[in-house]
Amino acid sequence: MLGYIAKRTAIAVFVVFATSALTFFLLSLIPGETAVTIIQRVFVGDVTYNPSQAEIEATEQIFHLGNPLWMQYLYWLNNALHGNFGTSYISGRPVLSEILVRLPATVELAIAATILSLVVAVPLGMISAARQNSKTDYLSMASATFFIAMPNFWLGLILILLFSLHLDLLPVAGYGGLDNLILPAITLGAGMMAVTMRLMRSSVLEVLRLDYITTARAKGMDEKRIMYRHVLKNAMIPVITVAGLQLGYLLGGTVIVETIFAWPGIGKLLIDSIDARDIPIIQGCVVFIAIMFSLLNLLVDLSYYFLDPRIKYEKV
Amino acid sequence: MITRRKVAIIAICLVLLSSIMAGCIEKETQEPATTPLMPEITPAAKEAKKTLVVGEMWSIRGVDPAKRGSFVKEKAMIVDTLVEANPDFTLRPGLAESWEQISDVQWKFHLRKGVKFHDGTELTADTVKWSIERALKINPPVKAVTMIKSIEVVDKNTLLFTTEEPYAAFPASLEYPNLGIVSPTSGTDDKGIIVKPIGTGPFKFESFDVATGTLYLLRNDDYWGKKPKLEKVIIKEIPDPASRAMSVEKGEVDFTCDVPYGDIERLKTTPGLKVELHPTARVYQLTFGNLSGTPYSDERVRKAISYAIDREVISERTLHGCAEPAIGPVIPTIAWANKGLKGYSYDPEKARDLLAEAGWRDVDGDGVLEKGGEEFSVTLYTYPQRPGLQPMAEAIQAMLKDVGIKVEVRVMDWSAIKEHMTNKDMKLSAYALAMVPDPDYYLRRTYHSEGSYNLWGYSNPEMDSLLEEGLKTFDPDKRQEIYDRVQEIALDEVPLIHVAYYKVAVVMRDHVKGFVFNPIAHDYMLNPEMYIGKSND
Repeated sequence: MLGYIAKRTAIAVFVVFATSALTFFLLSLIPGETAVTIIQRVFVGDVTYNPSQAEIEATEQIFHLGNPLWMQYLYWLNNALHGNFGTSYISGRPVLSEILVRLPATVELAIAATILSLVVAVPLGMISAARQNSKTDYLSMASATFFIAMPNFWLGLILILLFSLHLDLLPVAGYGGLDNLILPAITLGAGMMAVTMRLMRSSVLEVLRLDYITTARAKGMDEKRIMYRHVLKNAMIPVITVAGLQLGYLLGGTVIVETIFAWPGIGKLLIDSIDARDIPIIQGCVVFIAIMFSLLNLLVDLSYYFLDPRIKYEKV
Repeated sequence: MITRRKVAIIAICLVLLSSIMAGCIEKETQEPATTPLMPEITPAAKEAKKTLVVGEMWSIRGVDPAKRGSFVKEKAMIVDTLVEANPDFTLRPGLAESWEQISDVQWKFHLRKGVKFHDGTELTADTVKWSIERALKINPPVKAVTMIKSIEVVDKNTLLFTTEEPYAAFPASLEYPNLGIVSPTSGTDDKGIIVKPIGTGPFKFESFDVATGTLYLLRNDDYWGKKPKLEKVIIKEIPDPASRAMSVEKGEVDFTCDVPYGDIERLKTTPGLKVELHPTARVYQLTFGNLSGTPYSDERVRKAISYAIDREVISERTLHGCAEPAIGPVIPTIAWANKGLKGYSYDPEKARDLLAEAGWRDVDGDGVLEKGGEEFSVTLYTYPQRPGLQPMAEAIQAMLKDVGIKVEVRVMDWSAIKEHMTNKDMKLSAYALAMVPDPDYYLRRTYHSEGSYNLWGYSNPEMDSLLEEGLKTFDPDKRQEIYDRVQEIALDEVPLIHVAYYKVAVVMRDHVKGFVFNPIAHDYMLNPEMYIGKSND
């Protein structure tokens, strides 16, 4: 068990490191000069401003943009290992604090959406499977397809239109109380819920075909008990995997939903920074997302152990 | 078995919970003073009718006036500049009561007496010098705009500025929002960036929530001008245009701008809202890759393209009234606009004739003109940051197709266009006409052979000498003559085509009163006379 954790941690560290290097070099491929963008965004506030050479040179000096790329990367890596992820070009604030300030909002939204999707999807998926090809099954699968196909920016706007403008129940946008959380969580959770529901259904169907279920039925166990005691837990394994991965995605921020609802999360920070070529922040966000993702993957793997003791880590 | 599952779930929950808490704790220690909770904008607060809530279109990433001048001065009203501008772009005294020219390169500025910063310290020549020198040091374009060489303190209320060269636009350049005067007592972070600006403006900084991008302002009761009527102003970023529209519709914000074009008609008829469309100092311009060695080297081709564009349709239909057909290079309400100019009318017949005269004919009958075996087929580049650009580009595409020019529209990031665009392509952009209220700013950058906007290589010795002359002509009437001529040549030789003037759509609740639009603003500008009155319905 310990050896397994160590191995997985080593892989996670490698992933994070490789991601950071890859991002750094890919970012340098974005067309356009960083100094020009800084002048436009920070100093003038006009994206069409054409700076003179003198202005560009002065700016490059302020932000140390003159060094060769590999040197910039080593410099960054050295600082990062000492806990200093650099300073945002745009706001001038440390990258770490920019990310941490936005973390609670993102975590709150991601968890709310995940819980919402699981609470709805798991029972519905089970019912669908238990009553395969019934009306309930068709209805819930059809609505799942609908929710998967629906783009979330559209759903978000429709929800605002309905619940905020027409019914006047919830705020349009912003961050703060529980009422602010409801619409973004539904918007984000809807697609996830649909995917999870379909997965749950097929997973339950698969388990239902296994021998031990037949055995359980043969010994006269009632259907409900079979469902809860034998099917649910085994069917949950793929669902947990997917939910964990999705939570990882969500913790990286959800650009569209955060933008629509003016939700101050990491996704919004990332997209603002990409737009403004705020490379230290982009770099910081990507590394942060990589860390989150690796960590959650690890947690998901470990949770299998509790769900299915047959999975032995030593053999992996 | 069941207990194991429970343990798994509890364990995951605990890890996640602790990460939330870690986040919260970090947040508190990082941002002790500047992270208030999002205020509940409750009905009770609205009844007080003294708070204005503004939905801002850009993400708010800082409050240092030297870097974010247009936000801190025009929207937050925290700082004032020495010189201010009227809606027709003429100058009026700001923190400087008066100024006089001493020599070609020297200007004396007399400060308004008895002005106090928000913390009660007095505005003196020393603090002004400190503030302007700080901006010069940390913001490179300030130097280019002001050409300041040195600043001397003559006495407590007088400053002597020396410019690098004779610069007639100097007083106007002090209106540059990045030169908003801040007190040295302003709160800074460990890198010297101002996080708690102390200015002299009608509103003072209360707090700024970094995460939600929300700025809280309080009335400055000791304001040197007319006392503002609002008690509080809250500016919160809502970068999504559709969300801005719905926020103002629901009343979560009282004032916002730049809503989706398609929503304007609906908002106009929504009870409780008023919509105003104002032309601002920004112009949509169509530019060419290069004026030599391309079809555009022939002036007749450039004119033909200008005649082929139906500016009326673009402004009224394509952009839903959020633009005004352009005549000359600058908006006609600006004091220095050449009022005698007649723009290019929509005349596709004439456009076809001019193209034929220039030797462009449709030889193979496919609807696209050819000359010397080459098709007139180009790419029109534009960028996504201004919502009017793409629909406008598509309208121009259709209009040019009508006269036999095949156009492909490509939308990409502003900085990427430079690397894709070839000499025979075109670009549609929205340029600021006046970062400072003086004709020199836009005209010299655009029409001088060495101007930084002039990427297409326009060069006319008469134009160059006029623009250089304008820089060192201090007599206002003579100066006007010069710039009248500049605009005349610009229109006649069409080195670039002005399509339309930018209009900003301001949407507010009808209880917002006293708002006066000032086109000098880069997007919109709030004014201290605004107040919350009775709703009209």
